[in-house]
Amino acid sequence: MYRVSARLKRDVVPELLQEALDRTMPWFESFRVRLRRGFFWYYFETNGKRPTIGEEAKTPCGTIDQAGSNQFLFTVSYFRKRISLEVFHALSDGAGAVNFLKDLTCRYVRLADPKDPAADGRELPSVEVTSDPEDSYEKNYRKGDGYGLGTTRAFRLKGGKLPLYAMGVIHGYLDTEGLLSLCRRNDATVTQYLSAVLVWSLYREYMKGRPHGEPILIHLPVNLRPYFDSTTTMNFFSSIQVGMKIERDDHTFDEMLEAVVGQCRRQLSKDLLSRRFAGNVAVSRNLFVRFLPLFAKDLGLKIAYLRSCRSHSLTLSNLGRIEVPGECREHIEQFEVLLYVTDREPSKCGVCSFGNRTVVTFTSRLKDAFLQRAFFRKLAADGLEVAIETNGAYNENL
Amino acid sequence: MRTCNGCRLKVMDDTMTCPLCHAVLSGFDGNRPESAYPDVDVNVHGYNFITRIFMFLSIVGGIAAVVTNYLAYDGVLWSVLAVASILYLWAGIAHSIRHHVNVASKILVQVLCASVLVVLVDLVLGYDGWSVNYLVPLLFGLANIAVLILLTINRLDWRNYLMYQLGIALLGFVPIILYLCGAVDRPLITMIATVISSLTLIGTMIFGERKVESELKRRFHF
Repeated sequence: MYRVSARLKRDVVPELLQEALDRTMPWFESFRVRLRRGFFWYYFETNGKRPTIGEEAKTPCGTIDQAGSNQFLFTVSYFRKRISLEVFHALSDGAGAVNFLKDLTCRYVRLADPKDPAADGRELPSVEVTSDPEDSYEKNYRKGDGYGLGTTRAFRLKGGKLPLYAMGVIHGYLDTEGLLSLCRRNDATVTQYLSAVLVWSLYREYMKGRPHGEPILIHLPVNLRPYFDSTTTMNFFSSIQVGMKIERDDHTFDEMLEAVVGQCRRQLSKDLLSRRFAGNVAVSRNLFVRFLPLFAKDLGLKIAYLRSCRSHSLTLSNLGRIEVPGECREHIEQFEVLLYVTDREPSKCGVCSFGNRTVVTFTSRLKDAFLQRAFFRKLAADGLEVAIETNGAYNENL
Repeated sequence: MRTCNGCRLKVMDDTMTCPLCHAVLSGFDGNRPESAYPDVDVNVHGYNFITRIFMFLSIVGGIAAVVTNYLAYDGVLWSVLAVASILYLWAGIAHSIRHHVNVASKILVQVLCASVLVVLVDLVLGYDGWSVNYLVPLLFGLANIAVLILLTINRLDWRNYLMYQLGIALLGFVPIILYLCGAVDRPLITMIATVISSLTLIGTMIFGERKVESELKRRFHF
């Protein structure tokens, strides 16, 4: 589960947000579903109910209450200036969720802006494709060798947990122009640069700059739509891993950046990416697997998940630059993405940018913010202006 | 907004210390920003506490029953019933108060748990056969009728109850099977339950047509 939010310049009016949601829903067919258990597979079924909004829960991405949300696989909530969309990953990946949020936010902004003559919000959606339920994995499947990420045990973050299942959120606000020119100077993309900073921070903070038996591996989800020319609103992503094994005590940041950039370039080819998901599709087509009852499949997936958790240190998900139509732009301050964390994957990092503001959000179950501190200190040392905002979980009096 | 000199960044929270390094912040610019998040939840314990009290009482009650039964044994193992009732209470309540559970599934689970409990009571009190003769078929028959009432009220949502309805209707044939095996010697209620189940099944086939077919296809898609 994850959350994407839009922060507006004025407080959200709940009634108008509900109205905006009602007008958004008819366009997004793939969001109008509920999940059912069949005997062999889960399946989606059209949900005719009306999704209702509510004030944000105390814990981000806590649970989507199936009854409270009328069995939809997402919830829309608000808090002060923020509109949040929390989504189960079964429904859609980040690209699909951002699409929905963009349309919802633009409709809300039009409804809320009394000066706008066309303020009835009934216009066309503000995103290009609202509903394309194609299974792009199946469509782009080619039989061949699967290509797994390997099952090396990666270095894992450990430490005391925050009390009461609380989740710590730290937003870091960066200047997009400054970040881009920094990346350009180093001949890297934003994702590559930030991944390298993460590797560097783990190396400095958790390994104390000393060699370690387990490699630092950053897990990077990749949106497959551009590679396969797909516009699906369902899931269509894969992932790659970058990082390095620390063998000396004098690694420099530039060395790490070079390694990360090289690994990204090697792994981000259409051929390798299609081999990455070919294995999964082949399993789901396997006759034996198809006739396994659902609870056995659940068990298998659980095991696969636990194994995959072991093989990376941290997830960094970059949703990239988010664009909205011109007239809505001036009402929106920023977009944010929060990834759900568990005790097994105690920290994650989500990035997105809107206009000149890039928001790097760390979510964490860990009590100490060593990683976040090293990360933002490194960016500040690189000459960027950094501002942070938290949800108060690291506050001294909790 | 304040500044952390150690981390060299601005902190937008309304706080005196840096969330990252806990150093005291400086350079207050006069703006006390409002919090962007609701207060972090600290009330998770309250809910659990009530559950814990009931858990504790259940365990104490169960142990007390077993010990008393052992010390003052008079030929009846009544403590088994006490423990079974406590377990039934937990299983039944846990399932029935979960509000996102389908009502028909609650009926199904209650009927199954209750049947096991009454047969157990019958066995412990020196088997008389009253449970399988009367209560079990009565429970299944009533469950069938309850689901039929649900369906009539919620005709549009029939699809949601269909699988449970079929399940309960099929369970309704358990008493007649018991009768054929010779476990039932007073078959009146068994016969009534069987008739209700058969009518439910036939009715579903005739009136359900495509709906039943498509629901079954979906559920058993592979």
